[in-house]
Amino acid sequence: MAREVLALAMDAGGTMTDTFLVDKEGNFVIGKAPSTPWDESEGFIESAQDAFMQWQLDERTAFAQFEVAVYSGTTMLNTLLTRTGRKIGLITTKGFEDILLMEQGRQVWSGYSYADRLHSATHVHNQPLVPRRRIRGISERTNMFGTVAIPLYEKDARAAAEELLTQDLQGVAICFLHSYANPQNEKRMEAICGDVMQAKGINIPIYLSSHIRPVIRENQRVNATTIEAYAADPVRKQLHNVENRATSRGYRKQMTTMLSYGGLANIRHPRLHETLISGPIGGMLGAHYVAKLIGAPNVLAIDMGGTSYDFGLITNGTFNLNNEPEIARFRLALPSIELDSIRGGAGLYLSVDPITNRIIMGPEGAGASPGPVCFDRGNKQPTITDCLAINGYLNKNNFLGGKIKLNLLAAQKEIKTQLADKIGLNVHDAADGIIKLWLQTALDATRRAIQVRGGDVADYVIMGYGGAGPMVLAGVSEGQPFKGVVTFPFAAAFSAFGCTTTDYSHRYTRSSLFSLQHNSDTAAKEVVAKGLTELWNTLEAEAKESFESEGMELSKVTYKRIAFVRYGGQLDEVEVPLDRPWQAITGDIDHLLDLFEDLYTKMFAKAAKYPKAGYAILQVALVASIETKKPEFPLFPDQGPTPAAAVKKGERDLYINGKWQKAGIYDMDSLESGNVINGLAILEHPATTLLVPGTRKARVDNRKFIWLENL
Amino acid sequence: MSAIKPLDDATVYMSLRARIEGMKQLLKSTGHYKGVRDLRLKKKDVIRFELLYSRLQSIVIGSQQVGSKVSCSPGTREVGESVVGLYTPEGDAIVFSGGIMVHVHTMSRFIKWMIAHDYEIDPGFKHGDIFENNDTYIGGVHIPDVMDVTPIFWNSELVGWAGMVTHVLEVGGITPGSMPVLAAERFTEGLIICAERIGEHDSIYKHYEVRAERSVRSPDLWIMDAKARVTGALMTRDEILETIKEFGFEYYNEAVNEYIESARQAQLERVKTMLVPGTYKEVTTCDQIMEGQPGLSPLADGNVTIIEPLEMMIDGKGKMTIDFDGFGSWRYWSGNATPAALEGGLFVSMSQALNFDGRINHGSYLATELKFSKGTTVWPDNKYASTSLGWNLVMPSWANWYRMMARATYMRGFVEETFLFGALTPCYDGGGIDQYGKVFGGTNFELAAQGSGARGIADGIDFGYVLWNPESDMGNAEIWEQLFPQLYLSRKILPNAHGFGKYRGGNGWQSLLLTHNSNQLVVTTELCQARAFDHQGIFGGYPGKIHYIYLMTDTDIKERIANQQELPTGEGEDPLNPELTRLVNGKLRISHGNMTADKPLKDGDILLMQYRGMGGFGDPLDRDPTLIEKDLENGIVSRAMAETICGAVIERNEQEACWMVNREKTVQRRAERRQARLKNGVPVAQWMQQQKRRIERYDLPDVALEIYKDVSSHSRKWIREYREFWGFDESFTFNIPGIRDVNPFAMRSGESRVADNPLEF
Repeated sequence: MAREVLALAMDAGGTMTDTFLVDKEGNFVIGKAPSTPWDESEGFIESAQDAFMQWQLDERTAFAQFEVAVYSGTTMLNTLLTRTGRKIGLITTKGFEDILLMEQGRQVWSGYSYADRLHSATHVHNQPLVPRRRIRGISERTNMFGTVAIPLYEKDARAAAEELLTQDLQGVAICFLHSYANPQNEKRMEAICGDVMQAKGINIPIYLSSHIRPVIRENQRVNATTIEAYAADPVRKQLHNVENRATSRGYRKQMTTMLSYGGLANIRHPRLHETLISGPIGGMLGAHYVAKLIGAPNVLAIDMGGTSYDFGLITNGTFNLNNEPEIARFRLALPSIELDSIRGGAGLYLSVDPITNRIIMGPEGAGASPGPVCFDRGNKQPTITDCLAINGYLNKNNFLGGKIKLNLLAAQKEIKTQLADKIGLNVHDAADGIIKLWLQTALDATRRAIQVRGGDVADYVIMGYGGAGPMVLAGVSEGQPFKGVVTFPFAAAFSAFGCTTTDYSHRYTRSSLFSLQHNSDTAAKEVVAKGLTELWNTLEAEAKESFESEGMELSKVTYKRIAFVRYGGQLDEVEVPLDRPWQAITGDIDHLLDLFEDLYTKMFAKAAKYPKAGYAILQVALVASIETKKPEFPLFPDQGPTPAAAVKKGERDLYINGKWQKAGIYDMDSLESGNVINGLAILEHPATTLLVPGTRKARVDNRKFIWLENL
Repeated sequence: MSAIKPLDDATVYMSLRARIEGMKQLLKSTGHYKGVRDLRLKKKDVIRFELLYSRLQSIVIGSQQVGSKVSCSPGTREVGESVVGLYTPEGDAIVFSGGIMVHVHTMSRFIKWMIAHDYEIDPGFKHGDIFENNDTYIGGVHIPDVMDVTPIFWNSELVGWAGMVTHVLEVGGITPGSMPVLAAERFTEGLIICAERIGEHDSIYKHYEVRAERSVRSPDLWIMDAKARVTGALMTRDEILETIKEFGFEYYNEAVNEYIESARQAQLERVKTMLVPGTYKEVTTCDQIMEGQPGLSPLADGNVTIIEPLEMMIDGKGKMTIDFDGFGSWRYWSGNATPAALEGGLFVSMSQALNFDGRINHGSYLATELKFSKGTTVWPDNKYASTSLGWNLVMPSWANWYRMMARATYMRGFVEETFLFGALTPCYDGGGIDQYGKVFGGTNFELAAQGSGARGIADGIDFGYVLWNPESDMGNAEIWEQLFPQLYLSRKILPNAHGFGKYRGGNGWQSLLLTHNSNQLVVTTELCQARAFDHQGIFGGYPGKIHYIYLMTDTDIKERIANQQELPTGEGEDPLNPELTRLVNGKLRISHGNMTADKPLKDGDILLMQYRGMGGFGDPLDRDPTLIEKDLENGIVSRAMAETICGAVIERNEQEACWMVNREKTVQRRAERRQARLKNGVPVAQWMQQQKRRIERYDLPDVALEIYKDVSSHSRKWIREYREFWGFDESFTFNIPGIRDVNPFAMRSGESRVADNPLEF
C-alpha cells in the first residue's frame, strides 16, 4: 500500500532548515536543507523535497495529504537583530517619550555572562526600534486601579496623530500607562488615528498594547507592542510565501506556526511576536509528548547547541511558563515555555586567564562560521568541540555526515599552546579536564533548574536532543539519580518533531485586581469567584471569536483556566492551573488557594509561607485548545539484546577519564528494538553522536528510543 | 542538636574565636591565608578544583534567584537589591552571587562579630538556626540592609555559613521609608536587630513576626524580605551539604581555603599587571544642608560639609593600601559610616574595576589594607551615632577610588578599562497613608539606574548604572505606583545632566510625580549632594549637573487637567525658566541636598526627582560632532549647552528636521576658545602664591576653616602634608579662636589603622 503522510513540521534555524515528516503509521523521516533567510519559502521547499525523496513521495500527492503543516522560522528574530523592520511610530503617555531610549536599566546588561554583568565598563544600551523623532507623548493617565485620572487630551492626540501619520510610516504602536487595567484611552487614541488616516487616505496598522499584551509593567508591554509593529510584517510575508508555495503544490489547509507558549496558530494570528521564541519551544513540546508516551510526568529536556545550552522542565505533566523572557536583549511581557539558557554550547571559545591561570569558557563562541579550529576555516582559538575532536569523541571523517573533515592536528596544536601548556597538563588531559568542566557547568545549571523550582532530581527523566544533546547526555546525568536518561535517533530534528505534537491553541491573559485577606469570609470569596468567572467568560468569548475567524470548529475547543496567585504585596506570582471544573462558588476559591499554597511550598522554603499577608490575583489566563492529529510511534518487536553484526562500524580510540580506551562505534539508525550496547561506545548518526560511557549501556526500547542505563 | 560542643573524637576543641586568632598569626608569619603556601589541590587536579568552585558559584546564584522571588519588595524583586554569600566557619567570604556585593563583606563582619562575642557559647550555633543583623557597627552600611545567616554543619562540625542580604524598603524610622535623613542618633533610624537569633529549626520565631508587624509601617515588606533571605540562606546551606557529600568533607574544607588564598594571590597579580605602582590621592566633598528642616534632633548638626580625602598606595608586590585618614569628626547626622561599610565597598568596586571574573572573596580583602582613624565620621567611637545614610560617605569615597583607578589603568595603557563608574545616587522615601487607605512606608528604588561616569573610549552608561550594583535597574513605573500613592507625569531624560567631555558622562533622568489618592504623603530625599561635587570628571572632563529637587504644593494642576491645559513633564531644557514652574502655579520649594518636606503632601502636590549624570572624560572641545548630533536628536544635550561647552556651531537642517553641527565653523570656534583659555590662564606658581597668602590670613569661608580645624585635630599626617604642600612651617595651625570645634566629644586618634577587631564595635 502506498505510504500516506500525515504532518510536516519544519524548523528553520540560522544554518539549516529541518523537516520532520510523519506518515499515518507513525513512521518519520528527517529532511534537511540550508536555510534561505532572504526567502524562507525556498529553504522550506528544498527541505521538504529532501524528506519526500527519502520516501520517494510525489511532492503534489504528499502536500495534498497533509492534515497539518507547521512552520517555525527565525525571520522575526533576525529582523530584530539586524534592525531591518518596518518604519513605525510610537504614541505613549506624555512624559514617557524616552521610554525606548532609556529602556529598563537591566537591558544594558541583558544577555551578558556572569562575569560581564559585573564588568560594568562593557554595558551598553540597545538601539531603539523607534527613533525619538517618531515618538509622541499624549497627556492622559489611567491609574493602577484602571480609573482614568487624566482624560485623554483630544486636541494633543489629534495633532500627534497628524504629525506622525504623515511621516510615511508603516505602522504605529500605542502604549499608555496602566492600559492593561483600562484600555479606554488607548482605544480612543486608536480611533483618532483612524479618523486622521481616513481624512488623509492612509491605511496602516495600529497596535494597542492593551490588545497585544494587556499585562502590568510598561517596559515589557511597550517592547512587545513595538516588536509586533516593527517585525511582525516581515515574518508574516515570509509565512505567506511559505503557505503559497505549499498551496501551489496541493496543500489544502492553512499554514500554522508555533507560539512561544506552545500552541499552534494560523499564520494570520494577530500577535505574531508570540512566535519570537518558537525554535527551542518545539523541542519542549516534543519532550512533553514523549513524556506522556513513556509515562513520565517529570522531565528535564536538554538541548546542547553551538553557543548556548538550553534546558527546560516538565513538572507534573505541565510546562513552567516564563512571563518575562528576554530575547535579543529585550525583556518582554510574553508568556513562554520556560527555558533556561547558559552560555555553555560546544562552540565556546577557550582561553586561560593570564593572571589566575584559570580556564575561561566563552562567553563568545566560534559559531558555524568560522567554527572550531578543527573545521580549518581560519579560527585559531580552541573551542570545546576541538577538545571533543582530539579526544576521539567525534568522527573526523563523518562529521555532519561527512560534510566537514576535521583537522585534528590543527586543533591539537592550538589546545597545546594556548591551554595545556599554560595549565601544566598534556594536551589530552587538558582536553579531558575541560570537557569535564564543561559538563559540570551544564550539570550544575540543570540541577539548579530543578531545585529552584522545588523539584527533586530523582523524580525526573532527562531527555537529550539537538545536535550535541546526546553527546553530553551521559555527562550531564553523571552521578545524578535521574529516573531515566533517554534520547532518540531523530534527536537532531527533535524541535521540528515537537511542532507536530502540539495542539492548536491560544492563550489569553488579562490583568485583574482581586485580593483576599487572611481568613476572608464567604462574602469576600464570593466577590472574587464572581469576578474571576466574569473575566474567564470574557476571555472565553474572545477565544471563540478568534477560533471562529480562523475557521476552527468551536465544539472541539477545550478551555483551561489559570489564575496567577501571590501573597498580598508580593511581586512574583505562582501560576495555578485549575485542576477541576470551575463552578464559580466559594469552594472553588478555597481549592484555588490550596493549590497555590501547595505549589508555593514546593517552590520555596517552608519558612517562606506567609498566609497572614492575604492573597492577590493580579492576572488570569485562559488556554483554549483544539486537539490535533499527532504522530504515533509504532511498537517494534523485540529483536534481542545483540545488535546485527552490520550495526557495528568499528572501533575508535577515545581519551576519557585520563586514558585512551577503545570505544565501539555503532550506527544509530540500524539499531533495533531490544538491542543493548555496553559502553564504552559511540552511537553515530549523520547529525548526532551518543556517547555511552564505560559504566553504562544503551538500551533500545520498543519505540526505538535509546535509554542510557547503568551497567 | 544543642550548641556546638567538643567533637567526640577530638581531645582538644579549638573555639572559633581561638581559630581566628591563630589564623591572624599564621597570616602574619607566613603571608598566606591559613598558612596555605602551596595551592596543593589546584596543582594536583586543576579541573576538580575548578569543578567545585563552579558548583559553589552556581549554588549562590540559584539561591539568590529563588530567595528574591519570595520577597514582596520592588527593591528585591524588581531591581535586584540582594546578595547571597558563602563563608568559612570563621566568617571569611568564599563565593557570592551578583547583586549588592558590598554585603559580601558586611555579612562576614557580622559572623566574625558573633564569634568574637562568644555566641558560640551563648546562644550557641546549631543546624537550623537563623541569625539576623542590621546593626551597622556589627556589620552593615545602614539598617535597611538586613542580613540573615545560617550555620552549615557537616555531622556535628561547623563547616561554614550561608547568608543573604536584602535592602528592606521600610524600617520604622522617624520618617517613613528605609533611610531616614533626620536620624542623628541610631534610636530614630528604625527597627534594629543586633546579631540576634530569629529562628530555629529552619523556621522564623513567631515573636519576630509580631515585633515586625508592630514596629514598621509596611510589615509585609519587612517580613517577606526576611522570608526571602531565610529561603536563600537555607537553600544555599542544603546544597552545600549535598556538594560536600559529593566532593568529600576533607576536599571541601581544604579547597575553600585555597579559593581564598588563590584570590589573594590573584589580587596581587592583577594589581601588578594593570596598575602603575605609587601613591595616588583624591579628594571630594560631601554635604547635608538640613538647618531649619522639621523634626531635626536638638543634637543634630543641621548643616554638614566635609571633605573626603583618599589615598591609594600600590607597592611593587601588588599590595594596595587604601587610607581614609583625613576625615573629620563623627557628627550627629545621618551620614556617618562604619569601617565595615567602607570595606564592603571594596568588594563591589574591585569586582567591577579589577576582578572581572567575579572571583573576589576574603582573599582579595587580605591582599589590600584599609585604614581608618577612630573618632572620625568613618569610624565613630560612639555606637549610637546614626549611619542611616552611610552611603552618603561610602559612595563619594569609592568615587574617589574609581578616579584613582581611572588614572592608574590609563597610565598602564588599559584605556578600555578606564571608567569613572559613579558617585552618589539620590532617591526619595515616602510614607503616610497609601492609595489603599493603609499606613505605609517605602523607598522608591527607581534610583538604582542612573548615569555612570565616562569611559576612556566611550561615553558613560546613560540611565543604567549605580556604583553599588552593576546589575542596575530602575524597575517599572507601574510597579512603583503600586507602592506609592503617586502618578508618574513623566519618566524622561534630564537634559545636560551629564558631565561634558570628549566622552561625556552617562546622562541622568527625571521623574515628575503627582500625589494621587492620598492626602498624607510624607516625603524625604536622601543621598543628594547640595553644594558639593562628588561626580567629578577626569582629564578635563566636567562634573555632572548639580542636584536639586522641586517640591510644589497647593498647585492648580487639577484645574489645568480639567481645562486640558498643557501639563509639565519636568524641568525642561532651561533650569532658569523651568517648565514645571512655567506651567503650574503653586508653592515652590527647590531643595538642594537631602530634605524633609515641611508637611505631608496631598492630592495634586508635585515632586520632581532628578537622577544624576556623572563626570566626563577629556576636554569637551574635543568631542566628536557626530556624537553631539546624536545627543541633540535624543534630547540629552541642549543646543545652548552644546554650543557653550563643546564649542559646537549648531544649525538647523529643516529638510531633515534635525540639528547639525557645522564642522568647519566648529573647528574655528574651538580654536578661539582655546586661545581665550590661554589668555585667561594664570601660571600655577603665581596662583599658589595668591592662595597661600589667603590661607595665611585665614581668608577662607568659615565652613572650610571648620573642616580644616577638625581634620587637623584627627590626622597628624593631614596637617603635615598640608603644611608641606603650601610651604608652611610647624607653627601653622587651623586651631583658630572663634572657629567652631564641630565635635569636641569625638576621640582623636591622630592616625589611621586597620579596623578589623570586632571587639572594638
